[in-house]
Amino acid sequence: MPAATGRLYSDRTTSLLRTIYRILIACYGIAIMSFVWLTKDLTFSTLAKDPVFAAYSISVVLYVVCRFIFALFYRPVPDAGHRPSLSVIIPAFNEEDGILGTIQSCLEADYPHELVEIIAVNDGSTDGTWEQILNAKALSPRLHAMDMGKNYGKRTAMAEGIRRSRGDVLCFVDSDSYISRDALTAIVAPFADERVGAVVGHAEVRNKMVNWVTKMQQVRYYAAFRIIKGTESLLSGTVTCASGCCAAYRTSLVRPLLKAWEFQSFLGRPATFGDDRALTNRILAQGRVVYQSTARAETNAPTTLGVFFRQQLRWKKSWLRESTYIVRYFWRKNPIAAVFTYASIVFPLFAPWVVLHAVLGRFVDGALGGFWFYLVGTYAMAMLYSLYYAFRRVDGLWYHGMTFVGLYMSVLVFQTYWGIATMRDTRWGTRASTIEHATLDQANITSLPSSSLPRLPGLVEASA
Amino acid sequence: MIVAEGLRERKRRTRQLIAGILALPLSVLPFFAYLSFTPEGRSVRDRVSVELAPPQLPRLSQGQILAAASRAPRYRGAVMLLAYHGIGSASDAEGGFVVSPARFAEHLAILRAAGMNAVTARQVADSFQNGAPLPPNAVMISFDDGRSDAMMFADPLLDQADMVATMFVITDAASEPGVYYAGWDDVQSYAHSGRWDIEAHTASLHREQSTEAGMLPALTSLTPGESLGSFRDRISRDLARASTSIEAHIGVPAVAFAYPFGAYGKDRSNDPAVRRFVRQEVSRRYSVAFHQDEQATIPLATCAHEPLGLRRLEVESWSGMELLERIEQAAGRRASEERCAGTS
Repeated sequence: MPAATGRLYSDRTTSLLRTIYRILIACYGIAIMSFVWLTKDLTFSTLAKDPVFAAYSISVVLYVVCRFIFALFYRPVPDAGHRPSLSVIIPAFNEEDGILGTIQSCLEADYPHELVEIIAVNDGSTDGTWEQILNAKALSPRLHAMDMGKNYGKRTAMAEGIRRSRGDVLCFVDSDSYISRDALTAIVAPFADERVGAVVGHAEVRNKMVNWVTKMQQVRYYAAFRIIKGTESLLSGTVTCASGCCAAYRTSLVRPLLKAWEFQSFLGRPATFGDDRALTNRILAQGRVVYQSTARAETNAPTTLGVFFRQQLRWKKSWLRESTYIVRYFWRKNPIAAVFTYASIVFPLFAPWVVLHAVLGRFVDGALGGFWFYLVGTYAMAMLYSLYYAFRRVDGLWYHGMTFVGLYMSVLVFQTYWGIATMRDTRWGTRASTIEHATLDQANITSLPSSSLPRLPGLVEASA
Repeated sequence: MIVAEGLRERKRRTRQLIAGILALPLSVLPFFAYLSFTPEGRSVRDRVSVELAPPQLPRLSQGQILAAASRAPRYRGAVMLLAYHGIGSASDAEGGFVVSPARFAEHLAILRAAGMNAVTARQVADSFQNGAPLPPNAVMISFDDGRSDAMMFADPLLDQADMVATMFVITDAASEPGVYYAGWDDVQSYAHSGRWDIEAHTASLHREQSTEAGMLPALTSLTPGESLGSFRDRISRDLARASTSIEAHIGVPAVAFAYPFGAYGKDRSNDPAVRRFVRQEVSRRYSVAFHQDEQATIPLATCAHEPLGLRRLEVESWSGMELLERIEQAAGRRASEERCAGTS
């Protein structure tokens, strides 16, 4: 079998090259950190002249570097055979192309079949989504197919799914996401710890190879999950957003919150988006939320800049809304996590001013070098983020992280204030969907329950 | 079909991987540009290079030592005054006033080989005012402005050459250091090494100001509508602040002064009376003051010269032997010593 031998040899070479590549990346990262260390005199010397700017630079560098260091110590919870009954809920709206794949990825998961029900909720789609769900139902009776009759919005679809679920653990999978075979066993593992109320999986961009917009998001997702959620998880389970693409919750904690969450309002407007963050933060107020890197999911990311910006604005608004909620209790959490969280709320509010100061300061008061120092400092931080990706993923996509930071510094930082200004506009921006709260008309709901997971004693179905 | 699709996908991934690997060396370029083309980046680089590899005095060949010795001027009771500005790796806003560390090292090595003895401005003042003896073949190495690059590169070289130098500090700049000027912490530690004499270069008058006659040095010009009285107050207060600042940080009062831009009122002024006032104010606080007029005919300085108008040779990026040649020419223009305090 000469082909097989050749293959083996080339695998060995590949792994050797990979190791060399990783060592190079690590050295490069260390060199950048030393560079930052060497410029510390420069920063400290500007502290007297320009205290806000210098203090901001120092805190941001500390923040980023500390996050990296903490992230190094993150470890996922190993699977110790914990198998609670599980309800996977997939809310779907106009997702005819992807929904079948999503449902299939859940059906194929290696979780004991008798312990898992998969609930696909059609939120009044105007395309062939419901037909696709019925097709899936025909393939597997384990699917609970549900049609709400008309469009109520994602939260209502999720809530109705929750009300009709029977599992001890709820797992949400977005209709444009796909989970890996072992994702369900991985995502329930942390629940063996009674203090854990929610778990978020690791998401990557499924359509990453489409264009630079999706490539950039792939790098961004990776850093956001591995570094930000990894650190938050390590610090007594304080993840502030269990992203909708793949997240699980302890049912007993969610049910009492259900009404308040479903009909959440902010500034007199229905909270139509940020369902994931809102639910996470309400669970976090009473328990732990951890990140499980072994529960892998892939999600389709926006492929055009316009859609990407609208999605980012929506996330920003959810973040703003939820920040006003978490600041009230976070000081009672892990003190380091609290510092990180409060810093992460304050930084984005300062960031646009710092950018303007650095760019315009050069022309206004001829501030010595502030601009170049700011530029190279930002570049160094962007490189650290991107190199982190380069180290973890040998696919050559790392430099798109630089594009992301470039877009972030030039456009996204200013979205914070745009988000504040347009806070009451609660349209999704990426899809046409209901934006008002409405009471469900139970008579219109079509429900074809799952064959697995018999009704558990003590659990009451809400619609009953 | 599927095979072809898979092949194309593989090709695409390989291309991406190669792009990623090529991007790695390219990503260094912004750091490189920062360190090479921005003033603060250069300062960072200089700092690092001094820390990693301190500049070394060159080892002169036997031939060079003999050449230096044969060229060496021999004099007593006089001093050659040298003025440097920055020492660094590249030219900057001050154009030609930057000498590379290697050149400066060569200057020191040749001066030493020629048997020249370094003195400070304080020694010069002491000699010209009180008749204290100067060593033979005395040379005063001085720097203007209190630039951090100068002290950083010069200090280890002075140490190796066993020589001393004088730094004329703009005191306000030292109080508010940035990339360019050394702060008092640094200045203090250099002064404590015994290799540096810290003297005055005004508190805040090292700048040009706009007048009816255009941009003129702040020490030697009236601002629009300024009376001579308020001009005098202005410079008096400034010099007083400079002196207080130096005494507070270094522990000894300044005795020497370097005119910013070498301007003392003879020219680059908008009022002929300015020169007299400047002289009076400088004489109230300092016993010697330096400028750089008429570079072509710089003589050795002796006590016969006007002590508040001593002329320094502005050193450019010459070779060591060129520097010696200049000193030799200066020695040939030595003035008589009849009017000296010490000898009369």
